[in-house]
This record gives sequence, C-alpha cells and structure tokens, in this order.
Amino acid sequence: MSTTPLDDTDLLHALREPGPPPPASPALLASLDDMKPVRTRVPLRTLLLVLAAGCVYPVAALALYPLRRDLSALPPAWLIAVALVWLAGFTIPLVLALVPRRHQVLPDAGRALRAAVLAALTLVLTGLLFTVDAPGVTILPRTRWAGFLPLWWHCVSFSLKATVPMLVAASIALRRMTVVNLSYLGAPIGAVGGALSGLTLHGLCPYGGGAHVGLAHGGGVVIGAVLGALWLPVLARVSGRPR
Amino acid sequence: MLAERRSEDEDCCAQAAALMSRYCDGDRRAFDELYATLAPRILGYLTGLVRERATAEDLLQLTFIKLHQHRDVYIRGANPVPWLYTIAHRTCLDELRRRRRSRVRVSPDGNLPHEPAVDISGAAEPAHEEPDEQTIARGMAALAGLPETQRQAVLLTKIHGHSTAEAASILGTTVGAIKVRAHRGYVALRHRLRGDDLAVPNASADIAREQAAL
Repeated sequence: MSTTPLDDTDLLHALREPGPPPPASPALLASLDDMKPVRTRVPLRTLLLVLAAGCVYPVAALALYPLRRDLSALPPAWLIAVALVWLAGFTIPLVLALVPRRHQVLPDAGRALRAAVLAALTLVLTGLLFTVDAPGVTILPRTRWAGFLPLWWHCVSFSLKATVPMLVAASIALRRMTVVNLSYLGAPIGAVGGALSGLTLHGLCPYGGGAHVGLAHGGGVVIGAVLGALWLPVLARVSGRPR
Repeated sequence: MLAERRSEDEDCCAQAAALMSRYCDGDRRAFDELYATLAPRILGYLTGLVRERATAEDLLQLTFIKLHQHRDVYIRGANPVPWLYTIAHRTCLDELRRRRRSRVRVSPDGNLPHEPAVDISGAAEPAHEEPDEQTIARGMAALAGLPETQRQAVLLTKIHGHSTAEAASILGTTVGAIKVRAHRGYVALRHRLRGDDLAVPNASADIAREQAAL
C-alpha cells in the first residue's frame, strides 16, 4: 500500500463524510409531526433557578440566627478579603458549570470541573492557613477529636442543607441537556453549595481556629463536590425518566 | 488549504445556527436543510465510532429524533454543531449499553416489537459525489485499529475539525486528555497508514468483541 501522508485532504474528507446519508426514516418523520415553535433555553434563567434553590437555607439561617459574636473584634480587611475569596469560590464554578461559552449550547464541563477543584483547594487552604481569631472573643474548638468532630459535623451538615437543594434543582435543569459526563458538572455545583454555605458561616459561625474553618467550612466544599459528582448523574436520570 | 477548510466550517456553523433558530420557530423546511447539511458529517462520525454503516445510519436517525425532542435546550445564536455531535456520541453510548443489556427485546406477550415500514416511494436519492471506496476502506481500517478513546479524539479533532475544547465538551472530558489522546491516536494512525499489510477488519466481529468486553 502507498505511503500517502495522513494530511491528504482526500482521505480526511472521505473519512469525514463517507457517502451520502440515508433519507429521514419513518420514525424521524413521525416525530416531526409535532413541529411547533418552542421556547429555547436561557442559561441565566437556569443559573438563577439553581442559585435560588441553594440560597433558601443560608438566607433563612442569616435571618434566624445571630451574627458571630467576634465580628466587631476581627480586622475588617481580613473579613472582607476572606468573604471575597468565598464569594469567588462560589460564583466562578457556578457560572462555568451552567453558562456555556459564547456560541456554545453546552457548558464546558472540563473547565467547570477544574474550577471546582481549584475552588475547593483554595477554600480549604484559606481556612487552614489564613484564619484570624480575636483572642478572648472567638471560641476555639478543642483540639481533641471528641470536641472537634461534633462542631465539624454541625458546620458540614449546614453545608449539606444548601448543597442538596442545589443539586436537585440542577438535576432538573440539566436532565435534558444530553451532557456526556454529568459528574463533571455535578462536582462544581456541589462545590458551589459548600462555598455558599462557607460564605454564610463566615458571618455566622462563632467558632474559629484554622482547623475548624479549613476542615469544616472548607470541608463542606469538598464533600459537596464529591456528592455532586456522584449524585447529579443519578438525580438527572431519575428526574428525566419518562413518567 | 487548512484556512480554507476552517472558513468553510465557520460558514457552515453560522448557517447551522440560523437554520436551528428557524427550526425552533417551527419551520419544517429548516429541519430538512439542517438534516441535509449536518447528517453527512454526523454519519461520518458515527461510522468512525461503530465501524458499521448500517448501525451508524440507525444511530443517525436516533440522533435527529433526540435533537427534535430536545430542541428547547438550544440557545439562540449558538453553534448547534458540537451539540449535535454530543447528542450523537451520547446516543451511540446509550445504544451500546442497551444492546449489552438486551440482545432481543420482546413485548410482554412474547412478540417481537413492531418495526415501522421502510419508505419505498421510488424517488431517486439525491446525487452525491462518491468518495473513493478504497480510500475510505484504508482510512477506516487504520482508524479501527486505534483504541476507543484515541479513535474518538482523532475523529473529532483531526477529521471533523473540532477544536480540542469542543471535542472535550462533546466527549465529556478535559482538554488535556483530548490533546494527549488525539496526539497519540494521530501518531498511531500515521504509522498504520504507512504500513504495507493493513487489512480491512471485519467490523461486525469487531463490534461483537467490543460488546462482549462491555
């Protein structure tokens, strides 16, 4: 056989379109009978729906519970800087997971996944390394497991209460989008739920200490991302199943 | 040549976006034009994936049925081509899984399902310039020898001209993974095309082996 190089245009073209397609089948023609105008998707609407589902619990918590008691004793610059980090960790993966690039129909799942991993790492490390406490005012959890774990679970369960409704809303919004790998979108949406809770806890949780903030507040982001990656494909399959 | 092809692709995408918008507005003729424009490319992709023309033709029909059912997911002004490839890819995966689960489907009373009759109106199929069959067989044989993931990446990036970002989106993976797979697949493909004893594999036997492995 000849040694024609691969970039031979004829070969590429032949592989690209190897012959004429068949005419539309009777089944396809039958499905076209209900040709009605449809309302097409607006990604911003999906984003707002998922965001609203995630905001219900944090907003209720902000309304019901008092703000952390050491708020006035902490450096305002640190409070604002850390709040901005949480805000970025929540908005960037959310937008990337639900809003496609310009002129695209589907969101870039790989980019959203990378953003989620980066957000989770950044938020855990920010908590572990850059937490500031007000001596005498901030409550520091005991370093022993028996004292640490109940408070860890308290803050992680707070995160889950924001993450689970977000995942359910996202599964309903994404169920018809025929994305090949929904786990790649589930991880950022789950992480967003954790980051939204972390932002709320930044203003509510009276407990300080790098270990608590990093592993409980930041841990909520990691757990949310893992839950999202595992659950979103399942939830989307269940909500998209024909009744 | 490459720039010419890219410009052709851009024109095709703009045309497809306009047709898709009209189709979503309920224009039946826009669907027919969309089918005529995109079906050859989608069929080429599916043939490369399943390596069997008849199966690829069935999957093509299913792809367009899904496009019709999910046309409300479309965003006005967006390029529908990568999305259609995603639907085709997903349809192909679903079909392979379905085949793995049930080789023969029967109704509860034990009968085979009713198949819609074939349209035999007698009208001639539209004329089309046939590519050289030997060229296709040679290329298909070389492609068939690649591992699944490399074949998908080469098909989308090198043959169908998608960017690595688009290919990653279609296959549901990362850009880095696509780059590696496409490069390795491309190098392997070149080696295979230069080989002297490249035999055309039996596609049916190949698919049966793949399904057994699944």
